[in-house]
Amino acid sequence: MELITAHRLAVPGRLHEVQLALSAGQMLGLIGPNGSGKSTLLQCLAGIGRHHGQVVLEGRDLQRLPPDERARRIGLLPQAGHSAWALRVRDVVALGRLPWHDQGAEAVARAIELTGIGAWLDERVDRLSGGEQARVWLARVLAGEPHLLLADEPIASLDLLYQRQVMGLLRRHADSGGGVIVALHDLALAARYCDRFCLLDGGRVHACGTPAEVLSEANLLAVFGVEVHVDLAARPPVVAPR
Amino acid sequence: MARLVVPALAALLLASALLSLSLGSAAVPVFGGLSDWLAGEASLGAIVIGEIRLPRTLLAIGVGAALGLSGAALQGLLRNPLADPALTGASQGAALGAAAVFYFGLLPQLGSAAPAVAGLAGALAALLLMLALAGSARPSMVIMAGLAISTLAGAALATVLNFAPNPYAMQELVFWLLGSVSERGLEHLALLLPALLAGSALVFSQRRLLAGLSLGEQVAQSMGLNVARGGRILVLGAALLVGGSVAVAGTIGFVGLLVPHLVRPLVRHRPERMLLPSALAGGCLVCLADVCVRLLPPGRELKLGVLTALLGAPLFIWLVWRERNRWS
Repeated sequence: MELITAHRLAVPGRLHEVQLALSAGQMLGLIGPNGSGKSTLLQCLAGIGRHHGQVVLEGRDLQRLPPDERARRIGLLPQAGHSAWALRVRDVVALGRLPWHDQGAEAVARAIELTGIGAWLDERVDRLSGGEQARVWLARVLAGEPHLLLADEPIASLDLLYQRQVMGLLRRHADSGGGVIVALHDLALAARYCDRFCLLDGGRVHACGTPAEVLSEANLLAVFGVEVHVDLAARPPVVAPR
Repeated sequence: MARLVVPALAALLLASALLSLSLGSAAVPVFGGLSDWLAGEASLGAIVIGEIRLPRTLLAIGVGAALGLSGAALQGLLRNPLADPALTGASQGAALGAAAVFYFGLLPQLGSAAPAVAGLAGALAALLLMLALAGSARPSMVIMAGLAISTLAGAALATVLNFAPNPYAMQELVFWLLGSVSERGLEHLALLLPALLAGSALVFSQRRLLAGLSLGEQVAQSMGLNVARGGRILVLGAALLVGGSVAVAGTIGFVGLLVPHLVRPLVRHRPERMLLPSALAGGCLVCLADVCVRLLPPGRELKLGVLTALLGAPLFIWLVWRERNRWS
């Protein structure tokens, strides 16, 4: 059974008739130029954006799922995380348990261990560096034990080491039986970690499928308007403007 | 340490209340007077403690608790440490309602409680207008809509003052607006209590929303919280609390703004943990401020609202200064 499917998803002026499907164990890269509708699509899939069409999560209509139940199955990691208050790292991670109405000590401890943030639990989150914060926001989502993890440009503004760590954690979530949909701008990094792709252009799906099907030089030229050199056989894969 | 905050503040509140009960021109034993009053005996102690000091003390605590709690709720909802409960427009609405009573002599059958009843009605009217104006939009619209309704009510209040029938009525109104808990009876407490209970219940029902909102509206929504509905409930609760307190005691400024700042470091800045401590700290603060007012040399009484503003404004300047140094 598919983990999540979108049928003719539409948001006036933003998204047009988007079809999408993801199975458990897969990591789907959502790519496309700025303003192509990646964030809007992620919000609709998370159940917090108004839209036409239907989203089915594990066989159930997302719109009819009670909000708590929806939030237990889908974790959303928005583009720019921030905390309005000077919260401690441990309190931020614990917020991930809100949909469960419990402390979830085990899940919280596991999320802290996975993301490697155990050393700063009593630090104020606003005093951490950008890369450290990114792992804290991810730990918050993982503490909620979602089946499906939606991440909106989680590695923007991170250095190489943190980029690899965060992408590795997302890949691990998919490998352990969950699903991940991640919006990315770095196509080479996406090609290295994702096993499915969806290329958006002006709110429409230009191509959807395996890396080889989507990351073709013709597709990228048509959508980004730039000549791109693609070598998916290389280790790591190369996707770079000519 | 976070576990000790509520018991410590509760003990402090109890001590403030006992201090307030024992303070006055007549030396009366507090517990003797209280037990006489409860037993219905007409001793001097029973009259002084039960009829004069107890209503004043309880009213000061109730008003402080309402203001502190509403400040914590609104700052959490708007994620803005400078959000003041008066922002909802409820303060000005209550003031206008009470002013109308002084001016037109409305509701004579209610006696001394008439300004309070009219104040509560004014607060509710201002609040409904504000909610209608803010619509289902984001909480930040609440600030704009609250400001607009505050301005409207303020203009109407100025008109009432402008056309006051005689200097005496105007003086009475201005003194009332300055804020005080003196010369109030248990009937005022009976007005404040329902607003305090209903407002607190509404605010406490949205604790999870306050927690989730610390990471922004989008995250709160994705965690299954209803931001639009919960936000309206919080605003309604805060406005009931502010309206109720302004209705019985006039404008007592800065308490709602400052108390959350004092409490925040004690609860590791967690907005959902701020509520009860803010109510207790607000009660303490206003009760102690009223004790200060009574300790001043006799003569023309310094109004409680004036004292909280005089003490609160420098504290507020210090907060701004501290915030500035943090960012520079």
